[in-house]
Amino acid sequence: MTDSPTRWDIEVDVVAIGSGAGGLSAAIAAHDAGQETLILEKTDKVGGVTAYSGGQTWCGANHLQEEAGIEDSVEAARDYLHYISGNEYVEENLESFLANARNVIKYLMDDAGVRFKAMRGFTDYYYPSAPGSGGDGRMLEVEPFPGASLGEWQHKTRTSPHMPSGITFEEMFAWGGYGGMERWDIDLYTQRIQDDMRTMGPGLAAYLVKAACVDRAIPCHTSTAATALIMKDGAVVGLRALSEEGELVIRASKGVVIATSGYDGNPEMATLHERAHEWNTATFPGLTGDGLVMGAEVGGAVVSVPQDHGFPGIPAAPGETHEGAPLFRLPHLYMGLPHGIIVNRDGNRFADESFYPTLLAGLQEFDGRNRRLKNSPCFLIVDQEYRDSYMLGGVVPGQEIPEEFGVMADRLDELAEKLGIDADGLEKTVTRFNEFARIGKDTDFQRGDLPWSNKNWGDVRVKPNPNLGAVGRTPFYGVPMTVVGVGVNNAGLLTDPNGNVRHVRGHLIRGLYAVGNAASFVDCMRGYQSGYPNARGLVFGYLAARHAAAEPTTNA
Amino acid sequence: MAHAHYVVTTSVSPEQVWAFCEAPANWVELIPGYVSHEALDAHRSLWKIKVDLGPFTRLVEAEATVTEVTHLESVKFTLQGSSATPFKGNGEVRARIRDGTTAVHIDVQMNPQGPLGPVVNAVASPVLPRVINAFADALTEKIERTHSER
Repeated sequence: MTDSPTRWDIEVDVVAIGSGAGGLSAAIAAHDAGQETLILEKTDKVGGVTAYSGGQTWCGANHLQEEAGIEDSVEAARDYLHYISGNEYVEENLESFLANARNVIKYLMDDAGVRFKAMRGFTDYYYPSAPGSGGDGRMLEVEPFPGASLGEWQHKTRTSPHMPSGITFEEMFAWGGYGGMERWDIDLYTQRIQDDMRTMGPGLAAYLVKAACVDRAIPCHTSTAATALIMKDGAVVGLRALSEEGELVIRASKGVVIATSGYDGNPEMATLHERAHEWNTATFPGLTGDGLVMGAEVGGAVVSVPQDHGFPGIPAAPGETHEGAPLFRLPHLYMGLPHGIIVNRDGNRFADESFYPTLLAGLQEFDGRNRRLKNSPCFLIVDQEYRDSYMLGGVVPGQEIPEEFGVMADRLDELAEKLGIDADGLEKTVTRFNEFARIGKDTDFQRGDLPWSNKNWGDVRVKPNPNLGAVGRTPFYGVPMTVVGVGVNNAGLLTDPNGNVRHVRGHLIRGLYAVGNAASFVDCMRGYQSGYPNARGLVFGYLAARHAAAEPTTNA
Repeated sequence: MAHAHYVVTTSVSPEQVWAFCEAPANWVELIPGYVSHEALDAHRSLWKIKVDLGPFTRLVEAEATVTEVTHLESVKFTLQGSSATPFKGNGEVRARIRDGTTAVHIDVQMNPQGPLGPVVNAVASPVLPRVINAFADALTEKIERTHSER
């Protein structure tokens, strides 16, 4: 492939493609390293998937823990990441994260004004049983951010259809969490919304946008989609992009940082790479894997890791749309709440509903004898107690279940028949589960054993275990589940410890970097911990920019 | 409770404003996000509106009932949301002569119901004024355009 432009419409040192955590961190760091920098954003709003996330940022042994007197160490953080990765990781990449995360977080706070704070009392997922797991302070979130301070970027910076932006996680869980919304401090929540105070993912995105686009005035072109990389002598020297005014040919003399996230908005690509038979997304339609394609076109190695990112999710509520597409609710907001279980076609539970990594793995389990996925399709079964208290995706308490959404029945065997589930299996499962709820202990799948689950999806009013509420109050409801992605994907470009993309033949491609969800998760292959994707986006975005800044200029 | 009050002024007389507004078919489609409406009887109609809540859009279904009409002065109405969007509301539209122009006051209150009503209210509160303001501006523009074309 040859591409020798006769003109450059824009000439800079570093181009960041994408405006989530990875892209903005790269842009900020590149600018601060004295590089002329440009940000390209395909959609009409900046903030990326970061703005849709919880905004949690995981950093073991961070300086905020130290200031608070919380003991931690890089060694413990290493042990924990080794554990959650299933001991499958590319060591040099993981070590790069461990060596740099603390300093990058500090840099973003000191130099870029991002007001992180430790989420006190938030444990690692697998605490306390996992080696090196942390019980406090590794999870960071941002202080409320005043949206008005974004100026012209206020309404061009994404907010989330999922997260109750305006309140912090610490506040939300102090008030009762997802299972206690009616006990939230509504006056404070209302005031924060009216003042456009942003927290969680929208808050993290807003801080980064302020640092990049307002404080540093880094040029940022929205509605401008990168379409192809331009190579010369084996190095990336620029790229082509399509804006509303037409094509732009852009010179990037030091590097292009692909921070385009994954392919959640591309069902064809997702079903191929995610081993899913269908795919919907809780993110936005613009995530179509463009960075992956561009990187692969110039020889970048695409590597899939053996993670599972397709959640068992429920359909979009009729009439709820988002950027023209049905809005699938973030599964985290309704899985694992009391008085509900998830079963397969045999009527059997297959995982701890309050700890979604087990659900994701269960969804992929393949029955070798019968040649089918064992637990897909699956079904969310809840009772009237659930319906009275909690949101069911976009369906509010008191709302009738729409026909196209789910079914209702006064008896479990009726419900099973309507859903096509084995009735006998369902009855036995519910009976067994209700006994677990009574004694407060799930001996099948350990639901409610983890402090993480108790905090995130428990209802403190439910005793003896806040995650175990009996499924018994009629009528019953059943919702066939589908596969919903949340913006983190299996396949990405293979990178080195600086985020430099590796060619499929093994050498590094000069001038090309990939960070965030666009970069393969080889640093933590089988694992997932909330906050880790945001953290690695920030860290490798910074490292990529600094590496690019130190490199000689490519020849155009 | 979400509340919106908006005043628009027009050079069109109260009689002409009234004649225009008497027929919902003249203006209902001006409501931002309008999807459909169905007259149930002389006083009640069923509306479907796609409300832009910012990050996402929600289909709101509501029954509007005209409860009191004072000719050339005011129309009072109630709103009852469906189970999909449970809320109760009410409002009034008044027309007054002011300094030789007609001032049209639109006042709407909405109260989301159910255990999560307060949370919904927090999210919806900034939205109602935006919707009413946009509707009022569109209404005035159409009334004036209609009368200038005659």
